[in-house]
Amino acid sequence: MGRQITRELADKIASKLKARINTTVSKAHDIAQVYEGDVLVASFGIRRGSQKDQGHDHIPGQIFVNAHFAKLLGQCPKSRAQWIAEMRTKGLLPD
Amino acid sequence: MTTKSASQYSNRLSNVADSRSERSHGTSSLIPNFKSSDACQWRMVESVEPTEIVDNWEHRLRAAMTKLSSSLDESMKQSRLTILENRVTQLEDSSSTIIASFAPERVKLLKAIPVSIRYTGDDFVATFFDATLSASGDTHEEAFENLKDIILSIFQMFSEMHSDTLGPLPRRQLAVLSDFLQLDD
Repeated sequence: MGRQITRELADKIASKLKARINTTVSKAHDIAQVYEGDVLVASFGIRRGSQKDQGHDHIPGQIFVNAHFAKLLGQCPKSRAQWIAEMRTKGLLPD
Repeated sequence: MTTKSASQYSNRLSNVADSRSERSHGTSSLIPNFKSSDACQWRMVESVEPTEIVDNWEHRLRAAMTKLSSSLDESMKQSRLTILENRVTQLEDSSSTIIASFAPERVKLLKAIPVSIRYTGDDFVATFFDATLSASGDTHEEAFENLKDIILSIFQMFSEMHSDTLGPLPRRQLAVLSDFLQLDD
């Protein structure tokens, strides 16, 4: 199967979702927090390190999409709005 | 053994090519390029002139097709076997364990946290399914330690936030984590 989400892609996904990055709470990770309005919708860890190809295959599960959707978020075709719509469909956003 | 003029066939090919495109010229023919990754595209190639057409060409063609077909069968079997071998390796490298301690962190573990660790082909992903929390690592141990780090960080972070600012998923994650963890004062 191989690595789907690299560190580089993880950074792009965080940026695409306009995540706020908490660098102080964790020892080994930067915590990306995704907000919709004032409400925290999802969060995921980005491993610290300089390797761009470091594995981050845990991220799709953390943002409730499959690896393909997560990849497309990082690579551009999928937008934050499409992810928000996906989360709304799954009942993971407040009404 | 009778032979037919190779140029007859070549001419027929050229005529077809001419009718499809005015670009066809000389000994070139217009044939589909099946090697293209996008789609079948037409391209110009030099025509290959058959030297002779043998009498029993049908029989030979059938034999060649049979050989090709069995070779394809063999290669399909081989690739399915490779996929199965990879799956078995992944399953063998996947495991279940528990988090029994967060020492020396200042948090009390109320009960053991079940963790599933799976091999993804390049990395390991450790998951605490009830809380929808996962972390990756280059090794089994690193994924496990990274998950402990994420569990603690998320628990501390969410505990300090006002519940109104937590969406459905973080609220559920905090509720599950509160069943397993308690912050030391």
